[in-house]
Amino acid sequence: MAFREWMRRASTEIKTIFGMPNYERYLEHHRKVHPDQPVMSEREYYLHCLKERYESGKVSRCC
Amino acid sequence: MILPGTDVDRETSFKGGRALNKALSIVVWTVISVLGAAAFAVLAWHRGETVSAAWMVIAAVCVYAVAYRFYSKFIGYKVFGLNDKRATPARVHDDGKDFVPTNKWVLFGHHFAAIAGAGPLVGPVLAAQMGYLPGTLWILIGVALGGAVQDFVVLMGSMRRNGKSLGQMAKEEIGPFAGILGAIGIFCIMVILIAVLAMVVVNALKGSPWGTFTIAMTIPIALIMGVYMRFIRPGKVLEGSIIGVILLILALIGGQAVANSSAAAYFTFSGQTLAVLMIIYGFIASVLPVWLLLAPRDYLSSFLKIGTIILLAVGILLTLPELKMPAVSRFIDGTGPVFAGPLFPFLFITIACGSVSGFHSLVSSGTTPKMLQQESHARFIGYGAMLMESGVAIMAMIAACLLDPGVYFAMNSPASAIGTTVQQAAQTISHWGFAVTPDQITNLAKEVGEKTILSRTGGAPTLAVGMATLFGQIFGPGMLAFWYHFAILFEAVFILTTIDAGTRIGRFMLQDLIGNAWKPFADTRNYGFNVIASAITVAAWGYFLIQGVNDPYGGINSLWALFGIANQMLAGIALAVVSTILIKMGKAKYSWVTIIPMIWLLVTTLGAGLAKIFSPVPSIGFFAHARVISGAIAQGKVLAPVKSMAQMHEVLFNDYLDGIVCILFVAVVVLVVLAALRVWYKVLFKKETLPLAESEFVSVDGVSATV
Repeated sequence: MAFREWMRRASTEIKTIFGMPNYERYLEHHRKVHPDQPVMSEREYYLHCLKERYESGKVSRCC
Repeated sequence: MILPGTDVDRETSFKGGRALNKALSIVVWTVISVLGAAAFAVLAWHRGETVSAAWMVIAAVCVYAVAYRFYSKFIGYKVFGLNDKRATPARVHDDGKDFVPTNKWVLFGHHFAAIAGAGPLVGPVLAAQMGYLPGTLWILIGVALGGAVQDFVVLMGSMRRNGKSLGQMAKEEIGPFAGILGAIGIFCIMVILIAVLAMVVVNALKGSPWGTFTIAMTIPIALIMGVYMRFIRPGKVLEGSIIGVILLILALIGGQAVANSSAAAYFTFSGQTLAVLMIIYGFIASVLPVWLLLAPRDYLSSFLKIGTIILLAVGILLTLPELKMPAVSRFIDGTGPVFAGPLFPFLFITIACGSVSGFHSLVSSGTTPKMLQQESHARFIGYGAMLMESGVAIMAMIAACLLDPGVYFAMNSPASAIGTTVQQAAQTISHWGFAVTPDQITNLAKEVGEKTILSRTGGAPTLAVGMATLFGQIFGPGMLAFWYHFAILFEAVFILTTIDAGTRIGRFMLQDLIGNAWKPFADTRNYGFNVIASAITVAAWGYFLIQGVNDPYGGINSLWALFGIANQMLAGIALAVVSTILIKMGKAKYSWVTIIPMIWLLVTTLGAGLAKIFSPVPSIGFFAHARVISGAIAQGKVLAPVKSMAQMHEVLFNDYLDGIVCILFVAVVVLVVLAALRVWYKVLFKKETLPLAESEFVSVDGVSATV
């Protein structure tokens, strides 16, 4: 069980470091702040994040 | 609840301990400083055949430690007034997505992964032609007083403004005119950056079926990952990435088999063909949906990048190789084959990333400021991550200098300087004073599994040979070819991702800029306008790429200088913006912290830019070169290595174009600085109080109460 917990934390941190979408974090935030609103599925959330990161003209990389 | 008495007891009992701690700290920092100074002395005055890389590592680590402990603390607290009582944007706007309070170490990783790129691996390799010492000194001094300062202060400025971008800060703190100029500057640097990085890939892959096959395979691999993460296991990015990395290693191994088979011919291309393929790829990739190609490729290259940097560091620390390059070579006079121009100012634009990189100001005002948990973390993340990036540049310098200087020059000099056969090359280079035999060059090519290593300019192949040599010492020489192609793969994958993502960013900037004049064009939901803006962006960098491949005077030699000038120019703009903020904050007496590096950057970029425009020496000045070419055209002569009259006209056009781009860069930076000076004058001499666009102070206590 401790191993699973460790894996979960490691994956969260890797996702944050590389700017990858983190669905669990989204769900948690959603539950906490606006539980009354409709929730995105994992696929919807994934596509939504990609759009935000790569198709908004924001610079997320360097030379 | 603590009783007053216990508190006092703790105070008194700690008094002795505190004095001891202080004494200990003085001893430790004195030792670090002396050690660093000693390492520098060895590097500077050592006159043997070789010198151990250990000295370079020690000098770097000591500089970083002292700069971080003292200078960044001064900037953070005395100058900017970091305050952990003030809630960061992540605390105020916590939305579980962009604004997320993030663990200090994790955010350090996030920021470092965003600023680390191919740049710090290329510049130092080119600068090694002047010997290891000038470049190393510039990397270390430049980062401590300039580069890390820039990243740190921009991060703090943006953090105090809800994570606003540099462009927005320029607009709000200096004026709308500066904002538009900044946007034009960023677009130009993007175009030159993509062209020069694409050039690096072309030079690494030309005539190399192993490399080309592996890189080509990354496209289907990314597509497979994309489909997996979109349809098969939606959103499971880590699973997708693991599959991708495994397939990539298989492609790397398969590349060797392909190179040794009859299929090799299908993957052997000339520089010209590769450039055209790259342009077609860039355009298609930038109009495809992001989930299909860009995102999976980005994940792959992020993992490869961090993995390779760690491998390189481990390799260097385990072997501590001997550096064979002299401390200072004869080429500081500006006659070197790798890049033209004397040490001042050209060294300072050749090594941009790793010392001072203007591009980082865009990252520091991007995602990172929205994720800071506490204000004080900005110091470790802004200043600290840039020190680590500088460490990457030092590693690249070590990798280039551990090669035989003769081999280094064979790989990094253009064909116009050393000819196209190993005999010619060995003769020319030995004549320069760096003994090398034709056999040495041929054998090395064979060992790394390539037909030739002559004129593989652009840094990546040199770094790859350096890395392969390091790993050869650890794992045995049998796998030299594998490590060489691994290093090439890493740089190429990373650069192809930048080409795709950079084209998209350029497209947005262009739509935004043109949108100022004609509103509908700014609508990014219009697919037609998107495609048009993408096409313009690709055409812009594509032209410079083609020019770099076709024009015998083009290539890394002229493009890298333009890129360096653009990158340092952006740093100058960023520092001007932050200096303005400091002056408006009433911290004018500390503003030298950003003004001194700004002036140095202006002196070097304007010095280099003006030399590129006005120098009478044809190898340096674009217009001087144009005069030589047009003189020859008037007499009906074709100057070698140009092959035809038509090409003479092309060379002439390119000289004018490069010169005009250079004028544009100089004009942008001068205008932005003038606009900033106007604001400074108003505040300091006319005593006007201009509004600071900082967001309101929110106390941490208030935030924790609402959550």
